[in-house]
Formats: sequence, structure tokens, C-alpha cells
Amino acid sequence: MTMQLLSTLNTLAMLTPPQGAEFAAIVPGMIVTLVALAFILIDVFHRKGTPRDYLAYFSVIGLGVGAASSWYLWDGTLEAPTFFGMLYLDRFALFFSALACVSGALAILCSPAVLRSHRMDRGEYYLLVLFSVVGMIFMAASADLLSLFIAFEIMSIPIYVLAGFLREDSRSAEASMKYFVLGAFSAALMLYGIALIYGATGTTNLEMIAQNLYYLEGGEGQHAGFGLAMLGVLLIFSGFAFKVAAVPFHIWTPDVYTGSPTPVVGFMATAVKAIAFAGLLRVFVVAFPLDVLRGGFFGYGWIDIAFALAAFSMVLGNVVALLQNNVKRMLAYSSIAHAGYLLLGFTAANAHPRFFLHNDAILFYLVAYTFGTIGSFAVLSYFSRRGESVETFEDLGQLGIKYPMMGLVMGISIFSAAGIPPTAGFLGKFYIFRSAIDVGMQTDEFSFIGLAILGVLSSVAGVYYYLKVLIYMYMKPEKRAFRPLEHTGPKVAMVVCAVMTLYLGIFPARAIEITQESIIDFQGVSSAVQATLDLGQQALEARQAAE
Amino acid sequence: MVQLTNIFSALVGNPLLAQAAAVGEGGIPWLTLTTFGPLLGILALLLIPRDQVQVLRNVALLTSLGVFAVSIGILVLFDPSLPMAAGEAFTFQLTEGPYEWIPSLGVSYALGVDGFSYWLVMLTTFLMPLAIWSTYSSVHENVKEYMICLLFLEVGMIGALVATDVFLFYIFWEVMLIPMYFIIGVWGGAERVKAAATFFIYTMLGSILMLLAIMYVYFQAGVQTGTFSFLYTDILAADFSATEQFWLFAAFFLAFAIKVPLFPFHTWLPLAHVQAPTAGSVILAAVMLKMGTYGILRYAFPLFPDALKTFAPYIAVLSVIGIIYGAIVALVQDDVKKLVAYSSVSHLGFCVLGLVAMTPQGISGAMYVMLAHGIATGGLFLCVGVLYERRHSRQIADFGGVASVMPMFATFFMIITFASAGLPGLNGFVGEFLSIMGTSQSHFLWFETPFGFIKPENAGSGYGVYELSAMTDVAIGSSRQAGPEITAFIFTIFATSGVILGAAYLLWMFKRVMFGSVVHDEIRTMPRLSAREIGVLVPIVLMAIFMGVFPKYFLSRMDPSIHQFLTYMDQNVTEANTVVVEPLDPTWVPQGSMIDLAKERRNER
Repeated sequence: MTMQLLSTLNTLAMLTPPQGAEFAAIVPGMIVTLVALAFILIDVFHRKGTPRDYLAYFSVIGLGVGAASSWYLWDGTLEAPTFFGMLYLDRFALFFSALACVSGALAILCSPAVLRSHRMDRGEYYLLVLFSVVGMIFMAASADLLSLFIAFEIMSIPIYVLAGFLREDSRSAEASMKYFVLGAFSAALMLYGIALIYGATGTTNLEMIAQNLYYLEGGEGQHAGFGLAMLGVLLIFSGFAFKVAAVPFHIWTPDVYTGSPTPVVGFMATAVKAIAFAGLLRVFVVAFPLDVLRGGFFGYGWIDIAFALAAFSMVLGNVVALLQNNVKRMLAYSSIAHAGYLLLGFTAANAHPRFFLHNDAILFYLVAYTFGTIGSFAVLSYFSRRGESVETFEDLGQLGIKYPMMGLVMGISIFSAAGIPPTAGFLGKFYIFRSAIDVGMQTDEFSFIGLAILGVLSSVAGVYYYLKVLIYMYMKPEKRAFRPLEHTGPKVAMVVCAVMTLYLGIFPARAIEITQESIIDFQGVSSAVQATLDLGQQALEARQAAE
Repeated sequence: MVQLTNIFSALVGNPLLAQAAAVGEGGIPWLTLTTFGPLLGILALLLIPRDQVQVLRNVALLTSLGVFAVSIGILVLFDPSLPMAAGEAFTFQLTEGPYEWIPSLGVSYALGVDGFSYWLVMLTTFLMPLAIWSTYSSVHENVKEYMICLLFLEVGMIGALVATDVFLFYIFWEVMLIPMYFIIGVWGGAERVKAAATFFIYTMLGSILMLLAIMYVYFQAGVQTGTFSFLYTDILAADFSATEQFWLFAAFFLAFAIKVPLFPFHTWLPLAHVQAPTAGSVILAAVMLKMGTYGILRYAFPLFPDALKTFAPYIAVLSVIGIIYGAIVALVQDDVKKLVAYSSVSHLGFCVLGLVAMTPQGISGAMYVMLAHGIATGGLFLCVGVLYERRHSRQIADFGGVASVMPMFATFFMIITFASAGLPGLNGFVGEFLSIMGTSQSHFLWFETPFGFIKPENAGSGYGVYELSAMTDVAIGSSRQAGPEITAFIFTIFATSGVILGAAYLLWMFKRVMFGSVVHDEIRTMPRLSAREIGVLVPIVLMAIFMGVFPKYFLSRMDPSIHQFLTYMDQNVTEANTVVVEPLDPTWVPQGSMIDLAKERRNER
């Protein structure tokens, strides 16, 4: 009774309309939405038969403004959720909205030539990407399971369509169908989980879920609702695991990656994974604090489930990728392995409130992964002419020699993905394994160090298949000649990705600082985590003062 | 200029550049110039069109010569007589930094050289122009990329040698792999792809485990000292339990042992050597293998002195197996290049054996083997390259009687072969002799087996200092025990037989290739050495002779570092040293080599 009263009071307190500066919470999302809506109008007046490249460039500019707006809002964040308790405006959300915009812009740059060569130069394409980015921006900012789920669907549905955008290509249609059916299923699971959580706690607000779970857990005699809540947690976790493509929710990945248009795969592999991790962090850190839920699943917490998923994803992703001879399929399995590394970082950083600052490793890894992965997909896009696109390893023969710039970009991206210095990917892996080692040493739990060892060993297997790309590009004879899609877009994307990958690998200081600021400004956490964040804030200020 | 750099650094938001600019006003950053000098050449190469092959080659050669010229500055400015810092394992000179690089991780940009590393830097910069010059007639395709790879490789190698921040070291250590992978894989022989992949994966496997160990050491040092930093001196301050030392040493040593390569981790080497183009083989054998032994000396030993005591006898066994096995396998090779590759396994065995002996002679011998092997084996690969360009074969059976056609080449080849075989008066002899001598005097290469070799009551549990006093007859009598020396003696016997085998396979190869009657008609038409080839081989021959005749020039400049290293090792072993040791003056300045010192002290008595 008390609990319900309390939650009602809290809810009432939160049901206030946004005022003044609080409107800033929707600025990045609204910018991208307005650009997308403008496109609907512009496309009406488009003269038939002329190329639609200008739409691509407009959307890149729009996404650039969206990303820049995050930068302007960086110092004006809010402590409490706004918009009737639906959205946070913190640096964590801003970081991910910028990342989604950048990833979308890079993917769009690769697109026009590919679409034209497939005779699918349609304005809807850019619209769908933009709407997906809108969903991503709001998902990272969600403070409520409902807004989270709606954002989740706004993000996902355009991508189901984009996967099947080359409708004359049967594999593209197959990819779209598979992705849609499985994705809808996982969304349903997630919604079911949300319903169970609501049934158990009487609220969908993340912070209040945490409070009410605390009452439900109530020492020895647990409330019957606690079991329901635990089932809900499990279902929500599996929904996220599907989006990040973690084993055993990875089955869709290889087929969808192989069939979808190459630029879309670049977008799907980076932005969706990044935002799914943002949502995962937000929901599980804010709503399901471990000190309440530890041991909820027959003695195990969700952290142990994440641990197991990390181990399986790293090993299975890397081992199965060894056996592939289609480049996109190989990259699909390698993205499963990357999900494993990220889950390793997630597990280590959230094992205990005092390690929470280690979440910056995930953020840095996602940035490094975004630039590295889109770089390699941009190269593949450049060679994906209708009917003669580069697909298998043999198709890559001598490409590096014939097109030195493509070879260089692919090399940098591949070395980054394999985690070899001086690229951003190395630093990302270093950061992730560093947090695992630190946690393992401080808690005297060998399991984390063991997982880190498993991670580096599987990444050696990873090196083998990544090298295969370079072996074919530089050392094997040419099998057939490919005509590249002469277009500036993919070239620009390639240069940006390669330069950023090297820059983040050699001068990472500022980027690391940004990830740390994003984590320190994470809102909605429990008091134990907040204490860690305050310590981190002090350390950061001391370091900045010293400089 | 400084202002420009400041503006630039403000633009990119990096404090490192601003600090670097501030230091630029003080003195010339010799080490940075040497390390990143090749990058200027790479930038120039990028601007030159691909079809200007000769220009590309000349620019690369000039760059490497420029880097060599800059590195002469290091040779001149390095002062071996400077007093050694007490309580430290190494004293770095010409230091730059530490400048903050990634402040939140405690990573800094710090460079420095000591008596060990600056010789290896000199070796690298000395051989690089020769390697580049040797490619003028052998590489005709993708010359631009080849030269970029070679110069990029030089950046990685020099950087790994001069870095005094462990993270920075690791970055350079991995960066070396990328160009070498392409050099083998793109410009190599028939099986190049397999060779390149094997090389990469092997090295990666070792080094990535080392990376985890580095992180562990970093956190442990951070917890103990309060500052989380990858600086070498900070890392060295950490203490580890016996178990930790065991596993960490294993992780570090595995990475270095693969690189050396120590038996049984050597299987990548013959493949990579045989498939690599000549310049690649030269650099691989002469410098990259030394990274392994250098890493052992710099990182694995001083960080984990207790674990070394556990591992040393086993490492010694592996080295001796490597010496003999490498020699025997080299004896039966039909392929000249493969023979030289296996001879590397054998020679590097002497190096590791000298290192684990932990005596002054052993360490200086190991260092000398590193340098001498670099010169001699580099020279051998160049000679094989000369033969291959003429005959397009490396099979010993395809040659015979070359000496009668190419007399000058025969002379050079002979001197280099003798240098490699360890003929007194040439460089190979000094190193192998000192390693073997150091091993014979080692007091802790013992281990308990069912067959005996039981540890005597008061065998030296310390390292070098005890050996020094034993060598100078100060503590003879009470402390000298029979037990450990028998094992050391057995190691010595096997190692010495390796020298004999080494002479056998090299001289036999030389006889079959160069002497005898000319069987194949192609030999008769082989052109004599061109002026360029003479120019490549003469510096090597001269250096081999110089190092053989004046070893003191090199040894006396290493000795202070060796002395300091051994003192550090001795002081940092956890078990109390049971032998009375002559106290050491921290400001001790050597007058000559360690051997001279021993003679002097004996005369005084």
C-alpha cells in the first residue's frame, strides 16, 4: 500500500510539462525529424529521371547539424528526466545521438551510387535512414520503458524496410523478411518483458522501477511479484541481445548482412549496435540495479548472463568467421565477436557500482568500431555495382594494388577491427580488456581475467580471418575485374573513416575525455553508482586543472 | 615554429604536441628525430608518382642515410661514463619526456637510450640503407609501396628500442608487424602468403598475451605506488608475489621467445626467412629477432627477478637445444637461405644462453652476439640475394665453382661466412666466446632432477654481483661450490659443440657453393659484382672486421649498463644473498671492459 502511494506521488511529481531549457532534450531528435519531413515535400517536386544525390547531401548536412546540436547542448544537461518523465538530457544521451548521426551520415554518403546502379534511386531511402536515426536519438535518451520501446520500434522498422530496399534482388528481400520476422519476435519478447515489469512494479518509469523492485525484493520473504519482474528482466535482456547480435540471438546476422544493401549493413552494424548498447546500459543500470537483483535467477544475476553471452559471442563469432568465404558474411560473424567484446566490457564495468566508470571503454570501443566498420563497408559499397559486386574473398584479388586508396582504407579498417596499433580498434580493445583486468584484480575474481584471456585468444583467431582480406587484396591474383562506382560519396566516407581511425588511435586523449564526461554525466543511477560518478568527476576536474 | 605547433595542438586539442613544442626550444630531440625521421621519407614517397621508380628508390635510400646520420648524433652524445642511478635497473640518457600522451590512462611519450639499446638503434640505422640499396636490382614491382613498408618498419623498430613507456613500446612492437607482413606477403617467394600469415599470427599470439600481462603489471604498480602510469620506471617499482611473477614472466617471455625465436617456438622463422625478399630477410634476421632478446633483457628479467630464477635453467636447456638443433638442421639443408635461417636459430641460442647466465660476460656476450649476428647474418642474406639474382635459385646443388667466376664476391662472402662461423678476429667469435664463458661461470643454472645436481647449501642465490666477485677471486674459497658449476659446465660443453657444428655447416655450404669445378654452364656467365653490390657488401665486411678486432670499443660502452643491470637484479631477488658480496660503489666508472677489470684486480692482489 505504502509502495503504491509512494509511486503515485512520484508519478504526479513527474507529470509536469517541459519548461524553458528542458525543451533542449528533444532538439537533436527534432532537427533530424524536421529534415526528414522536409524531404517528403522536396521529393514531391523532384523531376523524374534526374539523380537524387542532392537528397543524400542534404541529409548529411541535416545529420551534421543534429550531431553539432549535441555538442552545443553538452554543457546544458539536466539532472532529472523531463517531458513527463520520458526523456533524459544528459551527456550519455547526447554522445549516442551524435554517434547515431555520424554513422547515419557516413552510411548515406555511400548510398547514392549503389542505389543508382541498382535502379532504386528513391527518395524514401534517405527518409528511412533519417527516421531510424530519430528513433536512435530518442532511445538513448529514454527515461521510461514506454518511450524506450517506441523509440526502439522507430529505429527498427525503417531498417527492416532498408534491408529489403533492393527489391529486385531476391537475397535482399530474403534478408528483409528474416530480419523483420525475427526482429518483430524479439520486439514482442521485449514488450512482454515490459508488461511483466509493469505488472510487478506498477510503473514503467526506469527510476521508479528500481525503487519498487527494492521494496519487492524485501529481504528473505520475497514478494510474489519479484519472480514476475525477474522474468521481465530476462525478456528485455533478450530483446537487446537480439539487436546487438549476441550469441544465441545472432542467427539472423549473417543472412541479413549478406543480403542487405551494403551501405545499410554499415549503418545496421554500427549505429544499431551502439544504440542497443546505450539502451541496455540505461535500462539495466537505472531500472535493474544489481544490488537488488543479484542472484535473482536461481542464484545468478543478469550480470552472469551477460558474462556467458560475452564468452559465447567472442568464441563463436571469431571461430565461425574463420570458415566464411563471403566477405560480408565474415564481417557479420566478426560483428558478433565485437558484440562479445562489448558485452565483456559491459559485464566488467557493471559488476559492481564502484567500477561504473569503466563503461567509458564501451563508448570508446563503439566509436572506434563505428569508424572502422563503416570504412570497410564503404570500400565494399564502392564495388557493389548491380550484378557485379565484390562478394567473396576471391573477388578481392589485387584490388589493393589496382586501387591503392581503397586498399589503404580497407587495410586501416581491417587492422582496426583486428585490434592492431596504431588504430582506434587497438585502443578500444585495450580499453575493454583493461577494465576486465582491473575488475578481476580488484575483486580477486579470476573469472574476469579468464574472460579477458579468452577474449584476446579469440581475437588472435580474429586476426587470421581479417588478414585473409588483406591477403586477397594484395597477394592473390585477380580473378575478375570489377568496375568501381565512380562517385565522390563513398570516397569521402572512406577518407573520414580512415583519418578518424588513425586519429583516435594516435591521439585518443580528447576522445577518451569525452567518453568519460559522458559516463560521469549518466543520470538516473542509484546512490552507490552516483558516489562513483562523483569520484570520477573529481578526478577529471583535478586532471583538467593540472593541465 | 613553436607557435605554429601550439596553434595546431590547440586545434586538435592535444596537450602532447604543446609539450613537445615547448621542449623543442631546449635541445635537439635526437631520439624523436631518429624514430620518426623515416616518416618524412614516407611523406615524400607518397607525393612521387608510381612510375618514377628510380626516384622512389633514391628518396628512400637518402632518407635512411639521413636517419643514419642523425643516429650518429646518438652515438656521439651517449656518454657511458655518466654515473648510474642507484637502485634502478637502467639509466637512460638523451631522455625525452615523459610527456603526457593519454593522461587518463597514464600513458606518456617517453624516449631514452642506455648502453643496451643505443647499439641496437645503431645496428638498425646502419643496416637499413644497405637493405634499401640492395633492392635496386631485385624489386621492380610496386616499388613505392615496398619503400614505404621498409621505412615504416624502421619507425617501428627504432621506436620499440627507444621507448621507455611500456605502452609506447607495445605500440611500436605491434607496428613493426604490419610492414613486415606486407614485405613478406607481397614481395616474397612462392609460399609467401602462408609465410606472412604464420609470421603474423605467431607473433600476435605471443604479444597479445604480453599485453594482458602489461595491464596486470600496470594495475599492480598503480595500486602499490598510487600513480597509474605505464612509464617503465614506475612499472619497475611494483612488487609481485611468487605466483604472479611466474605467470607474468611466462606471458612476457613467451612473446619475446617467439620473436627470438627460441626452440620450440622457431617454426615460423625458416618459412618467413625463405619466403621474404632479400631486404626483408636482412631486416628480419638482423634487427627484428633482436627485439626478442632485447625485450627479455629490458622487460622480462628486471620486472620478475624471482621468476627468472625458476625459469633460467629451463630456458638454458631450450637455448642449448636451439643451438644444437639449429646447427644440425642447418647442416642438412639444400637451400642456402634456409640454412642461414636455421643458423639464426642456432646463433640466437647463444644469445639467450648468455642472458640467462646472468654473469657480466654472459650479458655482454649476449649483447655482442646480437650485434655481430645482425651484421654477419644480414651480410649472409645479402650474399644469398646476390647469388639468387644471378642464378634464380637458392639450391646449393645449383651452384659450385662460383669463386672462379666472381673472385671479389668470393672474398666478401668468405669473410662474412667466417664471421658468422665465429672465426677469431671477426665479430662472431667475440660474442659466442663471451656467452660461453659467462655460462661456464654461472652459479644458478642448476635444477633438481632425479639424477642429481642438487643445490649446495650456500650456492649463490643472487645474480651478477656474486659472479663478479667470484671472477675477481675476492670470494673464492669459501663460497665457490662444485654443484652448480657442473651443470653450467654441461651447458658449456653443449654450447661449444654448437660452435663446431656452426663452423661445419657454414664452411661446408661455402665449399659446395663457391669452390669445386663449375658443373652448371649458367655459372660461367654470371656477371661480376656491380659497383652498387660492392657498395652494399663492403660496409658489412669492414664492420665485421672492426667488431672482431676492436670489441673493446663496443664492450666498454655497454659495461656500465651491464653492471648496473646485474646489481639491480642481485638486489631485487627476494631470497637473501647468502654469499658475502663486495659492496659496490654506485658511482663506479669502468676503465675498460669487464675482462680488463678482472685482470687489474688480479694483478693488484
